[in-house]
Amino acid sequence: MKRPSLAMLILAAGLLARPVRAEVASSFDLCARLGGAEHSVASMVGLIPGLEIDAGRGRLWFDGSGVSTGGRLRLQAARAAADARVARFGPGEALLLVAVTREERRGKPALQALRTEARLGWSRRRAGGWIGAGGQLSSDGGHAPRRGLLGIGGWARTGTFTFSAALDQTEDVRTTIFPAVLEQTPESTWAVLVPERRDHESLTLSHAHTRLGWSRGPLEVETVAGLTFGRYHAPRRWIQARTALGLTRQLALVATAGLLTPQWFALDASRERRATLGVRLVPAVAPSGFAPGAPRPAVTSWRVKRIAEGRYALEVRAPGARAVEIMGDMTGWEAFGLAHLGGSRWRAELDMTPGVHRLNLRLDDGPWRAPLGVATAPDGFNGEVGIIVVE
Amino acid sequence: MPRAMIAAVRTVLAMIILALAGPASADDARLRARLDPETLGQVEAIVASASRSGLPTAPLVATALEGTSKRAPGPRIVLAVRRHAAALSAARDAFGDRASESELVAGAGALLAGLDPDTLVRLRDARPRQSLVIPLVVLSDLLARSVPAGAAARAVLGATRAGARDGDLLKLRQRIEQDIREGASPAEAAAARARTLVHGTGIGKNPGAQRPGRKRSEVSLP
Repeated sequence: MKRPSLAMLILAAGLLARPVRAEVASSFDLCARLGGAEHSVASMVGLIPGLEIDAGRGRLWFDGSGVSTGGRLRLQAARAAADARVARFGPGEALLLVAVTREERRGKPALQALRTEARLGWSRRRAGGWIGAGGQLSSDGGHAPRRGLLGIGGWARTGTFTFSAALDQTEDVRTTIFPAVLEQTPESTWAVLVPERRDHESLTLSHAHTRLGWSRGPLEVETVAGLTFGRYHAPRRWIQARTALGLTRQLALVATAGLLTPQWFALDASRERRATLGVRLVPAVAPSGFAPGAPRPAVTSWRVKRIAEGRYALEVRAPGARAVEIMGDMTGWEAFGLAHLGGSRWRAELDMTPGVHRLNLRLDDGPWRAPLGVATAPDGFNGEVGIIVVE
Repeated sequence: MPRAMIAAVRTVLAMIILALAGPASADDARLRARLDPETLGQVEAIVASASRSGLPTAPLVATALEGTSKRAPGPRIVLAVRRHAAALSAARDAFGDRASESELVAGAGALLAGLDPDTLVRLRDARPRQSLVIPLVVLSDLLARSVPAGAAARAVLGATRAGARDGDLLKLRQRIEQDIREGASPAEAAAARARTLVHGTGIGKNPGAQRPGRKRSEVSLP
């Protein structure tokens, strides 16, 4: 019988831990592409698979980017990663991250890398940040000595805007070839005096990138721009603008323009300037990002307003959320979906009596949590519950 | 014994317990729909016992429903319901047989949040004829906001003994909540606000604007 691999053991441990949440966040795009080296219009199919398993203290996730322009869908970049929260302190946490990345360029494997990193992050309602250090083993690493890699990033959210910026590093290898020295023999043949020699030098590439996102109702606009630089490496700038308009809960119109590196796993991660227009089949306007330290949907404010005798309105602001639900004694401890008012605003009307009430909120089918800012208490079931007083 | 037979016996036992418990109510229907037969039997037994003792049963049903919604295992749900029933019983012991259902529910909530049962007795002594619901609501909220049980009890008992009305206590809660949000330590905020309420601007008036988070040098723990 085949022995279980470490990944299988981690996966099993994650699944056995409670509570476990699994989320599939894949999108499927049918687009028309304009531009590139061929300066033509071509149809294109894009697949951005995504899967996240959240087991509380650890997560496993996979995401990637697949594109087909000639009838065959090909995964051109993929990443599988796991992180474990080793410590938590106030709004901060320490994470250990292991990621395996595979990229293709022009149909051939270009990079396979194993990256390990320790990160220190903190997250509040409107801002967050992280700092990390780690190392990388690459398939094209040769015998070059390896260096430590550093990273730092942060994000802030105000109203309907989210801004993030990060500077991180990857390892690359520069190979110098010293050709063989040959000598012609008296017999008119060539003898090798000095054989060919290849020197590998480990280089650190730094990537600075910023992202500005805005969303209101079914409309999302996002701009991602960055600069990659390093020793012996000409600086390369890239930028892509993307907009998505949700037509229904499962269908969105998408348009992109610019160029993007595959590490962003966006539609048409090409090194050529292109524009695309198409439709996206996905449970949300845009797939959620899984990168540690990235801004996640969160409740930034909420209030209970009396609208009639025994009738109250619960109003929640949750930027980036695709679904908001409440569960509490006032709902008989059954999930009750809030109505989306547009932008980040959600609302529900509930029958409540004055006094103490217990409730939990959940975003995007995630874990049930006490709303931020309310008093909390252990719920007796290994979790916590929010305590509100209705006067 | 085959598993099917064990399950059938459990189901029959659960049905007998349900039949003995009295006529089916909406709560019973919700419990039956969401609990497995074994857990249902034990929860129904606790609920029936509480009902016979004259204790309110709605909070016990709510606790069981909360457990099922959070996918807690059956034994943990039974434990949580049993603890809640014990807290209701302790609240009745503290308040006496004349306590209203609302007072028992609020008292049990405060006990489950970590309050000492003696505080309930002293609260009853401080307010022998008026309802204790609002003082208990305020106490539960302060405990949930990480105010230590002793500091929360001193604040609410002190204000109640000084004749604070329900409105004063609710304002006290709001101001302590605001101070904690602005960075004051929960114990410090509770002590300072209660002292201001009792000795500052007086009961029944607007408590003063002293904010422990801003003028820490003026604040001392009792």
